[in-house]
Amino acid sequence: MKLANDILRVQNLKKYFPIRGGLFQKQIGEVKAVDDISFLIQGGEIFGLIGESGSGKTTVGKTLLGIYRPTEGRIWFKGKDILDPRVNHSRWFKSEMQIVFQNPTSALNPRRSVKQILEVPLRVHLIVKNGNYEGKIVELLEMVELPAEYMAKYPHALSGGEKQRVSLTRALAVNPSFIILDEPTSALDVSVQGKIITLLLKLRGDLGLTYLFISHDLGLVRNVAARTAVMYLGKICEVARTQELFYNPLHPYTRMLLSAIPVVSEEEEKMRPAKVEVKGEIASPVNVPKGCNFHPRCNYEMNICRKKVPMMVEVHEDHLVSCHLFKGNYLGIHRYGWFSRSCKRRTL
Amino acid sequence: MIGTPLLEVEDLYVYFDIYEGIAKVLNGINLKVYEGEKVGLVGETGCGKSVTMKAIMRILSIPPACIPKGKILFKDQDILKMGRREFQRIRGKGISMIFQDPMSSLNPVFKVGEQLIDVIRFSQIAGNKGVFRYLLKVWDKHSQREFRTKALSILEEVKLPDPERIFTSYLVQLSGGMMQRVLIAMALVNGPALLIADEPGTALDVTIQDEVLCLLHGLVKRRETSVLLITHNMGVVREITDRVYVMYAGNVVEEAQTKELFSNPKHPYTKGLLASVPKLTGGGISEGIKGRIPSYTNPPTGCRFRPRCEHAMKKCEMRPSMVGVSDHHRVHCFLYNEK
Amino acid sequence: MKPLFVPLKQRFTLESFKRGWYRFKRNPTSLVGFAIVTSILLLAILAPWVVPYPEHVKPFVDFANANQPPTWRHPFGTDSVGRDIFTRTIYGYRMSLTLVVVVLSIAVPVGVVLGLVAGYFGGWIETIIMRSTDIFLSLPPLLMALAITAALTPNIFNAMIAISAVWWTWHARLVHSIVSSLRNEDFVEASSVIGAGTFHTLFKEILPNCVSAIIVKITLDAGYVILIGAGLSFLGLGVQPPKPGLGTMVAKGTEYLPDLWWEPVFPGLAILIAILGFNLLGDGLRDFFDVEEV
Repeated sequence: MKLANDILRVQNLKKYFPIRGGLFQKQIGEVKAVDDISFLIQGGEIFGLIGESGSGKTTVGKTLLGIYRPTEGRIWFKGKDILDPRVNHSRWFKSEMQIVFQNPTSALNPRRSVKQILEVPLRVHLIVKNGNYEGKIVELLEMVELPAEYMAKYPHALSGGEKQRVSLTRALAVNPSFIILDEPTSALDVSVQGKIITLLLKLRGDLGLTYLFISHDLGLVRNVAARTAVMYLGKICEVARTQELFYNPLHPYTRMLLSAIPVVSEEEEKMRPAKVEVKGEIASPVNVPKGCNFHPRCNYEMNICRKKVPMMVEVHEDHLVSCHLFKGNYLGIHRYGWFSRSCKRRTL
Repeated sequence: MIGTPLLEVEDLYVYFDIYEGIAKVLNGINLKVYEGEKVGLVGETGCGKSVTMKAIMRILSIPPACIPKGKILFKDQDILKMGRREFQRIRGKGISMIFQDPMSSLNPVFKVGEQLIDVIRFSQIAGNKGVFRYLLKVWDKHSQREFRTKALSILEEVKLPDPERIFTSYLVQLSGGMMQRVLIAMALVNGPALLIADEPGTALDVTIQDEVLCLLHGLVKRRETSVLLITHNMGVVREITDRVYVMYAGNVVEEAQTKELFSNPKHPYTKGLLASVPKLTGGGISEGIKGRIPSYTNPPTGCRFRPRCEHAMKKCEMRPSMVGVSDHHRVHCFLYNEK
Repeated sequence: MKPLFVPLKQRFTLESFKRGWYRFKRNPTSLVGFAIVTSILLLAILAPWVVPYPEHVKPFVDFANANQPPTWRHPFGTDSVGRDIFTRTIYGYRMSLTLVVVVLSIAVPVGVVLGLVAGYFGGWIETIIMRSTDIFLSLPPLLMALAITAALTPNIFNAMIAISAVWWTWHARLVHSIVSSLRNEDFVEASSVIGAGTFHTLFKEILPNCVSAIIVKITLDAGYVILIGAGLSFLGLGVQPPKPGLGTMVAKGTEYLPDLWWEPVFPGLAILIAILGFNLLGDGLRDFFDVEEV
């Protein structure tokens, strides 16, 4: 799998949050929010990241941005190592990678008007030279199809969809090349969702952006992302081209997810895996099971699953799974991309 | 669909007095729930479904809200006209509710078991006069035991592992799925005739939501409780309900058997809504429905969907009536004629 | 660019004011509070021109007219040296309000800045600041003020210092709790992701969200500060006679109860009405700022 123009490479990323307790606030445990994940995103593509709560998908986004410092692992963005504080605090980085948050209401300061909100990035990054903020803001608002009069409005006067557009405008104001979309339409109604997504797709085409699309809505990711990864409890279980993933899901968790989603049409009923008897509760990232983290809920659980963490193997072209049921080439990742270790084929 | 409905909302209007004027939120809602059936009320944010639900449970705050017209008949009695104490007996025993977010519906400072017992106890006492009698009931050891057994048995019925432990747990010790089951237990313990579920499972993960909805389905079948499921998620409606009402801007725009609605939607709004849901089979993202929900203080005359409708005609400035297009399938639109 | 942007902005903030007023009006007691406070403010500011006997606030004696009960000429009666109590009460308001303004001008900025810093940075900075607040809060303000004024010379100026020294803690605590909860909000994270510096985030993003709570607290504080000031004066540690202070007048007047009841009662009622007014207004302001969504 050779991906030549990757814009983002993540290698063995881990983010653990300490849990402190006791009189002296000693560390008594860890929340393994992100537990050793590696993936690549190509320039210009939309990469989907699916998972439920506790899967760590939002933490991934925030770690990429530098809001959290990773516990371990490396991240390269456009060839630069972004864990270096000189890079991730630099203005260059902040104008390259941006985020649109999930909750449109909390993403905008309720006490600031749209104009004041949008002035901040323009001022910080010196995008506007002669103090003509209004002109630039009107231009930006036009890009997201909001009328210029909205500059004077405050967030509480805007609808959910409009607030998300303002959030998006704020991200676009710095001319980024990579935007992390953290559940951008989860808080919106279905009929508004379409408009926002269409807008996002159009902007990607016009401005050559790359998106990391984080969501729990499988239907949406199916229609938006070119490649998708499924996360469970901090690990990636499966990565593939989206169409391949949905028509041929391999990992038992992916199959469980697909079978549990309520769908609205007969065709969808037919194409997805049969209903899986769901066992147990989602384990918490505080108490991750040993071995494969999904084994307590898996119907195909074997002895090895309880002891050994499965490695990511390439089963078909571009389709990677991390499950003891499958054999293929091991894949690792380093600064220059994926490399495959062909030896060690496992037998079941 | 035989006989008189268990719950009938007849021509209900609800207005709110706000800064901008009078918001005419509900504009003549009609809906029926018969015994033993599961009915869905589906619509997006702001369509008025929560207001309808609050009106049925009589938890609307009456200044700003007011109900100028309409009846809500439960077992043939108009609950809007009942006195508070009389309705108190129905609420919780005849009609009970499950709220949207399990984590904020239960009290975190009390044990789960205690709250469950409270629910059981109130149903026995509501209507009894006096604090004294209430206290007597509380201290009565025999009824305490009775309540506890009842509580444990309902916890088992909702398939909670280790009911004894859950009984003595606090809210923080439970996961989202467990909390939702406890809520369901609390709602069903007194054997209500009607259960109103407000977006059950929306706050939960998909896999857990699936389990919880299955559970609900099974329980309700066994106990022959009717369900009014209120949600914005079309998929959930399709999986669980027998019959559906689609609401838009304070009106019911379409009602049909669930299978019929999904395979053969008639109203332009329903069609638009179904088309907007991204499908697992692919097909891209539709642009959704153009426009926004109308202002309630100055709603469009006649059909409230008119400004957003592709098929809008001059006629639509008048208020359409419900026409039946087939068996049990009715649409609130001038595009169709009575069959 | 089209010139219509400027009027729109002005139009908008007027709009939000009008909505706020609508919410404020809904509660009749808020209007009562508003009326009381505005009257007190007007009386206090315009005192030298409004009162019937302005010279009575300076050293003045008129034993002929001493201890007169309330009449048309002296609505609140006269005190033991013949001064008009009505005049002195109004001037007493003036004194109390000056106290409020001075105390809050010191206490609020100090408290707010400390609260912002403690809430935003967390860690040992937060611990130091909040534990100091705890220490100050565990001491009743009146006692602290007493101790300080007793140590220094008892006069109105030192009373102001004393009350300010304990008052900042309430605001620090209030702001700290708001900031702690806001710290994790998306728009604060967005501010740092966009590249804005700490100063901008603290003062331009977070602080505006605290302003409404601070204003409500200031209004409620006003009543309480008046009470403490009156308390100090009552005990002889605040306003010194012959200056007119509400507490001082009550103190002197109690000697003559119950016969010459008007001497302590009217200043006392004045204190009561002031506190009542500020409390009602404060509650109303809470509604004013509370943006609800229907």
